[in-house]
Amino acid sequence: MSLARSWGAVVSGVSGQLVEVEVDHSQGLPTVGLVGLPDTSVVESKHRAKTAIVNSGLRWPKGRVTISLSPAELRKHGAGLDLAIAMGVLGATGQISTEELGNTVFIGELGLDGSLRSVPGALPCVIVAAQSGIKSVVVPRGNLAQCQIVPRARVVACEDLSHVIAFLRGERESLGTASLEAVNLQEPADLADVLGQEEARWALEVAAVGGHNMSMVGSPGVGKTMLAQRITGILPPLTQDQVLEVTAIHAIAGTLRDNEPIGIPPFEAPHHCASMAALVGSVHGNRVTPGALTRAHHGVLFLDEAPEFSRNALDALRQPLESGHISLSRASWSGLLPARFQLILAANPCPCGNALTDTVKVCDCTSATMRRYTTQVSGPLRDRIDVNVLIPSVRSLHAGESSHAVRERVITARNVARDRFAQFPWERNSEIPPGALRTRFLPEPAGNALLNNFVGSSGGFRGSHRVLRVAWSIADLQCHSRPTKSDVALAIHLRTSETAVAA
Amino acid sequence: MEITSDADAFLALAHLCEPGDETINRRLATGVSPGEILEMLLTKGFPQRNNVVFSKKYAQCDLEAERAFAEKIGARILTRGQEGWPTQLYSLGEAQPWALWSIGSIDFRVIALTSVTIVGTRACTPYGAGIGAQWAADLGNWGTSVFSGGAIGIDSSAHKGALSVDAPTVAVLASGVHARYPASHEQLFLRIIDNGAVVSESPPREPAHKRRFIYRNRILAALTRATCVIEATDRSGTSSTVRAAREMNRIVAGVPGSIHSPTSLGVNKLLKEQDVHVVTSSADLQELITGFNPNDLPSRSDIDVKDPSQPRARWKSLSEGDYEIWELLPTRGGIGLDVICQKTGRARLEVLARLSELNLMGFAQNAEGSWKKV
Repeated sequence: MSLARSWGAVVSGVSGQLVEVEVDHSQGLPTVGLVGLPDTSVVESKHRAKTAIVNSGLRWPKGRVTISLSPAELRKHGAGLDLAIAMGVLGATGQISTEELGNTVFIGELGLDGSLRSVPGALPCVIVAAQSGIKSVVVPRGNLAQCQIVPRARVVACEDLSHVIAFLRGERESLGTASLEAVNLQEPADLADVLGQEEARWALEVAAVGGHNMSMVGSPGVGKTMLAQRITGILPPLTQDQVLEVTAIHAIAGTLRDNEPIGIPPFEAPHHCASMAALVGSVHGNRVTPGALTRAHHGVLFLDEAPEFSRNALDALRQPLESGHISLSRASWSGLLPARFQLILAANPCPCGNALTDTVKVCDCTSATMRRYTTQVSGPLRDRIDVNVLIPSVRSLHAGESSHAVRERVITARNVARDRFAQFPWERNSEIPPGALRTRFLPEPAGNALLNNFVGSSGGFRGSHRVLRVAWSIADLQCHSRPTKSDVALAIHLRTSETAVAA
Repeated sequence: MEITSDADAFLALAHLCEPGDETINRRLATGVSPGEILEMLLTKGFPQRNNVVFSKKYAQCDLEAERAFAEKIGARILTRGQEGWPTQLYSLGEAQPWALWSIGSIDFRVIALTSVTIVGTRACTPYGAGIGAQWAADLGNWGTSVFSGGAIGIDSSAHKGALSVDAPTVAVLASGVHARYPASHEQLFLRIIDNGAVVSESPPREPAHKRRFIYRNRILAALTRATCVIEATDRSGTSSTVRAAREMNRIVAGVPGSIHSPTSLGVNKLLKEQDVHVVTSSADLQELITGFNPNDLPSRSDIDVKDPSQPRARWKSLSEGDYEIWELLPTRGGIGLDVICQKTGRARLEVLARLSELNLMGFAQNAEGSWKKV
């Protein structure tokens, strides 16, 4: 038998794609031909595969070897096809039976000694394999933990090429399996570290309940960054579907810590010099690198020193904030990247940072620099921020509750909201569509009157919808069955307190 | 270019020389005609001036085209001495302008007869901006028009205040009337043009630059009967307006501010001078300009139906809890949430909710995290 097929997989865009590897062995000069749009890293596969086979005590065939990667029009990149190519060659030369090859997807990079090395993007490959109904997937040991979270997939971890063959012959077992409890639930920093700042802590809690976007303005050193970093500690852990989605994104981006799946909402804090491509994602060939916005999917995007970001970068947030995805269009690839994140902005009140301090330090910014600074975050973006807090300098040194206690309340409130929205396609208060707000989710009559007053005075209808969503979150925290007048008033306060700086 | 009249000569000077050229004005004062001045500039009649450079500029200047352009953009040109020239500008002596361009719906010379220049810092506080807007509206109701420089801060608040009661207002610009500066105020300028005028001594397409702001200030001071400073820092551009006004014996007034406020330092200092009037209400200012206290006379605002939603008259409608908090709030400065909670013994979120409601109803105001009465 001189023709064999094996299955590998590569990442295309942000999802996996199965690749059929056909290997033909025939008489002729001893050459290796590799066809099917391989990029340089895939072309090098044949050298790694050949050396690994020889060094594992197996035989590389004499004569001509032709390897074809299909679908042929898909440009393939990465070293993840090494193992599939090696297995194809072994099949073509009869060193393993071809039946064993047909039921397994092989993913992994080969070392020259035959060892199997982990690759980025293994998780989306396993997901696509599971969807296509292939029985089992062989992955390197380092990729096991993240790949195990895929439901309906039999994931096998091997340490080298000989191990793979032994496994296929039923002679050796997979390496130890990690259990789902291993999902990374490492606690972020505790909210109890933040002293005082009761109003800001409460606002953070409200934002966490409804998934509302938030902005914090305060002088340097008042704890804006500390507060923001602690929000993931009070958010509920990710659901199983979300774990899969988030881990796959980070697997492709190569940002998985210790190659482990991600169990708590991700927290992305790009530096303010971040380029547009770093935020929205970049494309090389058909290889997509998710940007910070996509890595913050189902989590939190924190922009510290928000006015220092370029105007373009800030306005790039508008599409994902509205639709939950980025539509990325480049010559070689275009498609949607998921980006449903909660935005948290932090800013100083002015470039020198002293505008809000009491008498000791004096703000020496000119009107023009102030204006430039405060208008850097554009109106349309500002409009999408529902929870605004001014953070005064630390007045009390009273240590607040721990993240754990706050998270319990947030989870309870979220459950209340989820029950309320049971028959609707959304889960969080920030996602209630305007039509439903006006008809089914009105506040108590007194609150409604206040809301109408707000519409008339300055807020506008769109503003009133955003206020009402926050009011629902406040009500859920206070165990009110619908927002009271006081809940609406507090929500209006959170919406409007940012204008107190601009004045 | 052919110079056939004084008007042509002044127009040429306005195009070719920077505003406020005292050397030339001094010669003019000795009886030399503007046409002769131009000759002298072309032929080295002025020591320390480069007549070659001037001749080049002179050759490039096409007065007919400039006049046609002014007509196209709807600008009216006035030159010194011509009929319609605001004679109060003669008080500027050696700093007189040669020509003025204006775009607008009114003759600014007429409304300048009862008018006040309102000036102040660009980096104003809500205190100054509030006074600027409220007083300009009051003065507008009493028939006094407000002149200012169209800049951000006090200037724009005064213009907007006047426009809010449909009173004419005039912006004297440092740039040309077609290259209106700042560009972010274009909407405001268009409203001013609809209901007043924009005026400049620089040709329409000239940009504003540093020296021109200072020269512009003297025109504001000269055109109007009085100059009122609302907020000014210690070293402020308003000082040049004030200096010009005092040199011409115009009325100078200032609005006192907190001694702690950096934006009131300049005004408070000014108020120590002998001939400067302290004004603490729009009626004070109106009385300075017209000699009558408007509160003694029937006014437009009396005839208008009083706005029933004035918050001060409504405080009795507050609920007991809201009133308790409202009463605690100071009228100036502000107090923090913590203090209110302590004094009332109420829960934090309850107080915050009530404050937010008071804010919405126009009883309370949140400034940089602390609360006060409105």
